[in-house]
Amino acid sequence: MKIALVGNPNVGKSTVFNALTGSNQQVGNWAGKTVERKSGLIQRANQEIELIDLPGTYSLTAYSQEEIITREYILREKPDVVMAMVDASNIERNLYLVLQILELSPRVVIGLNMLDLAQTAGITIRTSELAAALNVPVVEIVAAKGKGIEEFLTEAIRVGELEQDLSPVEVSYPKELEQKIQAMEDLLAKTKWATRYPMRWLALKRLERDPEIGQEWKISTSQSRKSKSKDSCCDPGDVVNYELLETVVLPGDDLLQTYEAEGWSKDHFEMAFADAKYKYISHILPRFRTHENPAKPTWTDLLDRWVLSPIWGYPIMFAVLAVVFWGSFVASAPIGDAVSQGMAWTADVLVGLLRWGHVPDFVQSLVRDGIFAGVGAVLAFVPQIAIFFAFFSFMQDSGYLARAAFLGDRFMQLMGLHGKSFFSLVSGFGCNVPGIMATRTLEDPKDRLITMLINPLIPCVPRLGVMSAVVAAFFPGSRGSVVMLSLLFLSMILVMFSALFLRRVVKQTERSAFVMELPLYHIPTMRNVLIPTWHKTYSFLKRAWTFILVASIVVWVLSSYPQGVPMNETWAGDMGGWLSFIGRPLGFDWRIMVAIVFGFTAKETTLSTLGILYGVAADASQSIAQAMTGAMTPLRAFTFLVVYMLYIPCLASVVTTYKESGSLGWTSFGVAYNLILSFVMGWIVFHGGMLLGFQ
Amino acid sequence: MLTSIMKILARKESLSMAQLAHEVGCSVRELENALEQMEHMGYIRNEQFGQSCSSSCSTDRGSSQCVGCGFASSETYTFWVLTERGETLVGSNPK
Ligand SMILES: Nc1nc2c(ncn2[C@@H]2O[C@H](COP(=O)(O)OP(=O)(O)O)[C@@H](O)[C@H]2O)c(=O)[nH]1
Repeated sequence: MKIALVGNPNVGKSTVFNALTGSNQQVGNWAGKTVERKSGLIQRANQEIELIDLPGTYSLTAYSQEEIITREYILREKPDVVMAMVDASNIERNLYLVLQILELSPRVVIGLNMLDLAQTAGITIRTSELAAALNVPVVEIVAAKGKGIEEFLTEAIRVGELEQDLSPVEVSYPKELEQKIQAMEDLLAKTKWATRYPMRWLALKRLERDPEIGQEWKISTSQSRKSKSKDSCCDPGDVVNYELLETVVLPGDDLLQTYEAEGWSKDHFEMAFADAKYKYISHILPRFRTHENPAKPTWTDLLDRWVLSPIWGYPIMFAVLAVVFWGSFVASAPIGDAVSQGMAWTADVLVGLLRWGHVPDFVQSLVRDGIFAGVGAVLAFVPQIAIFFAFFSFMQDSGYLARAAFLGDRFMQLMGLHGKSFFSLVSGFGCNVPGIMATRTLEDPKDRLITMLINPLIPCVPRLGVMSAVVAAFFPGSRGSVVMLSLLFLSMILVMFSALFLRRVVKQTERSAFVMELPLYHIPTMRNVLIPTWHKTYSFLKRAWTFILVASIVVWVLSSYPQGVPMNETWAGDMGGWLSFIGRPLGFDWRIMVAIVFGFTAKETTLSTLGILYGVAADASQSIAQAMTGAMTPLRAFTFLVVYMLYIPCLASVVTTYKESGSLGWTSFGVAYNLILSFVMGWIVFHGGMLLGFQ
Repeated sequence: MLTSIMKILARKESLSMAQLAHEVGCSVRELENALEQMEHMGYIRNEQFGQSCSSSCSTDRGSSQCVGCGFASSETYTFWVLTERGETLVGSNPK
């Protein structure tokens, strides 16, 4: 007697196979395939049984080697019985394969395994009802403990010896499909194939245009090589060679063409058959399965009902972001003041030391007015920036950031932005450079280009850090959080607007749907907040020492020479003067324009430049925040923030855009678009504010 | 079930697993099974999207954040999208 053992992967087949065959196993490969072939001989009463362990699969389509081997074995070798193992703890998934096996073989016995796991999960399976629903015998087993394995085999032998085939349940398909199946069956009934394959299965596969149907094979004599090698645990398996003789086109092409004309492609058939099986499973499931504690909604589910709601999701997102900004401003205010004072004190000491050491004047000035003013201006904001990073990391680690991204995408739908593009934008919040590189996963080059061009409008973490520091200086307390939110909101609106605009410039394909797997919420651990915060802060500091140091020295040179003239007549002053035609309409003085130009290298240098140009070090009692608030009105500061947020993030992002797009034209277009947009928005904000009565 | 999932995906909206399961009327686990089967059949595919830490830096195990590569974070998003074949299928319905 020949028995085949089938089931989903990890269902416990090997456990049963090993228990039944012991050392009497042969291991080889399926002819021409890399899949392992295991068979074994079992002696029961006066019978010799050959048990074949077929590869684990979830279905019997023709998409994988394992599936093809399993179904071809059942079809060609026609085992006397199929032992189908199912996992009681995930029976709905396992039954999908069982229903397909029942279409192939009329003699099937089900082994209901993993009953211990099912019990722990509160799942009860009523075996007799399951047997009734499928109309085949079912045996309960706990393979890991060796329980029920022998009974499983005994039942299989009994079924194998039956005079008549069992009549397992047949999945009924919708009426329209049944008619089509019947028509195909009628056609195929006249062919030789009807005797080789189960009729209904053959008709289903023909409608699906299954590529393997119609293949004529020759099985070459199997040579048994029973000599056991010393190094191997088992005997080498029989060598069964299948040779493809020819592929015959089965009748029914005309019928298939008629169906095709009605819109029934092979994929429609395949999907409809699979769907009917799934429906059938959910239909019969309640008859034999009870779930004591069916997946109770977790608190992630409960929270998500609100957090992802199309109505409440957005106010909640707004509130969460408001708390993040407000929290980071409130928490950082006292530290910010202390650091400013500390910096002023250090400046005093430093200047004193330099004087005492009779260091040449220009070196004193370089250290005090250049390096100290520049790098110090940035360093003074480090505590505030670090606290903002900590709040950001908290939001990320809690699992909320992914939800915010998900909600954001809904917004983007309105703009027709590709789902995947959106995630590159979200990556841009971390840093625009990898955000731009993340567009590589977009297949459509047009989607890629649009996403690359929009990415710089997303304020990256360091930019947000500097913005929050400037906001804290100008708009202390909870006002700061409102200002930050309005800036973020503006950036979102502009991303949407730009997506719409660029979609006209670069013709884009239609967006596609996606289903997102969201992480569970959890309370962030100290470690998971502090470590990323430290790494981001460290990166920020590292840049301060390299980029910003060099930029500070350059700005100091520009703002100190020619010597002996007022600052607005130095080279930096001249440079600012040339740019004032752009700055004046926005209420910016020449210093801000110079700072903006230096910001092209890296945005933090804007701060260091302002520190030098506002002469922070000249008056050591003054912090950069105080110097700036003294020199700018809140409206001008807000305008500055808008421009600062929107113009190109840094040189590295421009270089990356060029590398990724491979087009100097589009890169220049992107830079120009960013610059024009930022200044136009700045102008609107400044003049809008003045109209509203702000100064 | 599979057909309803495809019909919902044809609306070209983005959904979370829980939302889709709710709309189809099954559990998230059943939905996962169905999606995996559809993936196997080639109608949808599972994708990870986001920044992966570049070769110059490593990933911190606890927070799964990038370590030593500036401000990049390793936040990744996992989602299911239609394949071209899936798009064709949802784009056409039998008469
Ligand atoms: N709890 C439990 N575990 C089982 C049972 N049967 C098998 N296993 C375990 O499930 C895992 C997969 O079993 P295996 O026989 O390798 O599965 P196969 O992939 O179908 O061959 C192994 O770790 C087994 O020990 C069972 O009835 N209960």
